[in-house]
Amino acid sequence: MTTSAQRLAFEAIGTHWEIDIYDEQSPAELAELERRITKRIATFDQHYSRFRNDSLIMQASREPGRYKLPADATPLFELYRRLYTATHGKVTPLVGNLLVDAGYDPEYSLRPAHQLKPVPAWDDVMHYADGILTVKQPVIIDLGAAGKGYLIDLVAGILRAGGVTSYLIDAGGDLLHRGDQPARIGLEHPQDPTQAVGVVMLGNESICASAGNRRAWAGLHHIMDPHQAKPTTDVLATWVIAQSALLADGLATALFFTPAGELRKQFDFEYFLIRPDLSSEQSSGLQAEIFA
Amino acid sequence: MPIFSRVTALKAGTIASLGLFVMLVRSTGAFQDAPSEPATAQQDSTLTAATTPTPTEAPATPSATPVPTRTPTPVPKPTTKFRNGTYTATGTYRTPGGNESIRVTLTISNDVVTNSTVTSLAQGNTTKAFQQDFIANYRSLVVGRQLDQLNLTKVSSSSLTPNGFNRATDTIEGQARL
Repeated sequence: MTTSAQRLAFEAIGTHWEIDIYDEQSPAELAELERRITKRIATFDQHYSRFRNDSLIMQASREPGRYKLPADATPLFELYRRLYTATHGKVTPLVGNLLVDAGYDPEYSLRPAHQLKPVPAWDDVMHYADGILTVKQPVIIDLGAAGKGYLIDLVAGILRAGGVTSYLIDAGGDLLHRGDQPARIGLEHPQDPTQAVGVVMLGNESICASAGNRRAWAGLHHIMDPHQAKPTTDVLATWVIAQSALLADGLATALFFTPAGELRKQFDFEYFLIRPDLSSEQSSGLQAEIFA
Repeated sequence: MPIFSRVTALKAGTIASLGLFVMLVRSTGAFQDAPSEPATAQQDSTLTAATTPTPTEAPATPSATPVPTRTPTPVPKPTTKFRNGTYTATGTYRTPGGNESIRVTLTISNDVVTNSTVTSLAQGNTTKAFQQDFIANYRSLVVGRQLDQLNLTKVSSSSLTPNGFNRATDTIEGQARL
């Protein structure tokens, strides 16, 4: 099963990337792919990161107005809007100010402000249509719930354009697989990174994970309930398998707020989740061996 | 939605089993701190069988010469809260279709429930289905296995612990250290 692969490995957007390419590539072709991919990631970061003050999206945190975003913004904002509706406003790009107030800021001060303010409603402060983002007040837009997944899809687009058909992209534990040979993927134990709680076979799809306990500080963590201005506590870790990494990543966060049954009425995906008492829940179609 | 009903049943069942467990402990008097009371049938929980709990500690043999003292002999403190053993109880609850029951057996060793079985005593078909769902799922707590024994291509995790975040926690740890 383990075909010999050529691997591109690098650090970007604060995480480790490994791209295994199963098609035969010459060293020159590989080097060219890596150059295009790292350039694409840098551009994405320059546009959408809230961790850099010079990014396009951070302009909206300083001044209200109309901002023309690159064409690739539309799938991301459209998914955010669908998730916003499906989770009754819990998954929202407007969680940025709350995260910064909580101390999850570019300097990672991790010092929460005295009082955390709930986030505003989407339609009250922002509007997105046809590449134009309009903000009525300065807002920190955080695309952390689905942005990395979307970037994985964009990287896959570069591989595809370069004629690569069989590959596995790993961006810090979020994965996208394309090709005929499914890959055996462990589900990392949320409390012990040396262990797995199960194994799934990933074939021509993406798996993304989310957990609250990995980036935790001062009694807070980075998955915040925007209405209560508090971190979520019902779910410890989630995994979602979907056609695109954009969808898998966004839904992995949505499962912290909304029952899977509700989300599955609107989105096509399989999932597995673990609650704080280590009880688990999964969709009936999930092809996985779970250790219990 | 099959997912929905399964999850709902699991949650309801978990709560039911906790309730049963509490009732069980009360009715057997296994909770040593509580005033001892006879194991009587309660309104909604019947004690059907209980093996004799195995004593864990032999009584302390006096060895040292008693030292005269004004205080009375201290009562030895129990080191565990529950008596080791296997306990069974039947819980009855009200459903729209009438009263229904479920039987729970727990093995307690050093204050930890080390084994459990649940037997469905359902009469109605709806209750049978719910109880079967509960029995299939109530033990499904995940456990870990070592990654290196699983022959994996990759691991899916949320361990995007950004480098900056890690550095910040290191800094804070340094500041907090005495």
